Amino acid sequence: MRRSSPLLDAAALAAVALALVAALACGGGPGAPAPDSAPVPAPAPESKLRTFERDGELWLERAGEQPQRLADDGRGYVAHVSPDGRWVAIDVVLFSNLQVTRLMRRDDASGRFVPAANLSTAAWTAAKETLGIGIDEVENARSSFAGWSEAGDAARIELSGVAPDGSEIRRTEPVPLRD
Amino acid sequence: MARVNLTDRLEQEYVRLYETCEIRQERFGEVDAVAVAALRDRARYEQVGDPLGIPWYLVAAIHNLESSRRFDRHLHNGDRLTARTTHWPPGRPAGGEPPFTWEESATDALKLRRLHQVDAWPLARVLYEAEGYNGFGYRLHHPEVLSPYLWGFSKHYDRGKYVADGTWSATARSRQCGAGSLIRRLEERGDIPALSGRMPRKALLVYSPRRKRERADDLQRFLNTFPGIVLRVDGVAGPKSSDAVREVFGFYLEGDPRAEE
Repeated sequence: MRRSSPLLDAAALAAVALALVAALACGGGPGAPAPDSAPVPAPAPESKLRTFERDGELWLERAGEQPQRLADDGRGYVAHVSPDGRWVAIDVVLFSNLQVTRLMRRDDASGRFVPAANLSTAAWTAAKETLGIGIDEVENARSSFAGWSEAGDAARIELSGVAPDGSEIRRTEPVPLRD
Repeated sequence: MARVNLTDRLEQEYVRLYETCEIRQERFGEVDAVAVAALRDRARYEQVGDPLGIPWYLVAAIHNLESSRRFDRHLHNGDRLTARTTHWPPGRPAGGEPPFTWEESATDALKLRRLHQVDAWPLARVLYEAEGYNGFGYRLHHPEVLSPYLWGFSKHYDRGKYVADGTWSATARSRQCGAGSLIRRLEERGDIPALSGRMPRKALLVYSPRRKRERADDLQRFLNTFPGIVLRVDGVAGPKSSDAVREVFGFYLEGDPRAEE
């Protein structure tokens, strides 16, 4: 995946999401030696959904249905299913010092989960408004899912990293969920 | 997901890159500062690395890259030591109770990555494990860019990185001192033993008044750039060339009998 400028505005978000779909489809993200198979510590409040990790891939399983692969380009995953079972936020460890959060949405027609947004892009873009630091200027950038809003219309994304002046970044950004 | 194995070819690549690693002039001060800081904390790195058989300078390089040399953070991921990790890998260290000491958590991080199971640490292995600690994504998906985790601040790396949202930017530039760059600088300073078996043990260009020597003509051209030095560029490193070397550097060419006097 390439782009000329790493700074994204809201209008570019959709393009990034589409590119993510393509990257997921062709397995084109950064890779790393896969850890051993291990259960992902997902709270999975929606009892019919269960996520698990196998051979470096993240899978979603629903009772009585074929498991669906959600991601294969990370070296570690933490999945979070929304209370209504419509969304899955996935923390994906791409590198030891780079963790991102992606959003998948359940497609009502097929029942399958499809890529919906890169929550990290939205959160870091929002943070730029107050920090004045571009998305390409942060070192050791890690984003992680911090919870769903009470109304179920947003995800809270916790950001951490090191700013160009060496100071520590730690903040939480709400990101609206959009179909 | 593809694994990367340490093959003979990859070993040769690491050695070649290390031997040709040159710190960028504009970053030299920063690299040296990291090296000095690593030396200052060497005892702590050894306290963790020695029982696991891991070189202290690799622990230092990872510490610098993962948590900016902060001893109040988990080596795992930079989370605070006052609690178990929340970022991946979550819930570490699994045993004990927080707050953890840096040494406790660092030991847990290195063992989780199985670095304590490595039998020997020749140069190529050091660099392979450093790159693997971070991940082989650059090598697998953007081989045109050498990993900044290894070569940041050296001439082996200019730009191109995965930015904060995980997308690739060909123009973004890492602002971290790579592990290979740091280790190379430590060796240049004489703070660690020579890691590369091919490092010169004796002078590459010696006194040779009777026959031409490879690169002696380059030396003569270089010496001719100094005022007052006029040498024939013939590739014979004889007494006049040795005199000029002494004038510039303060010593004769190795092998010049006058050097023994």
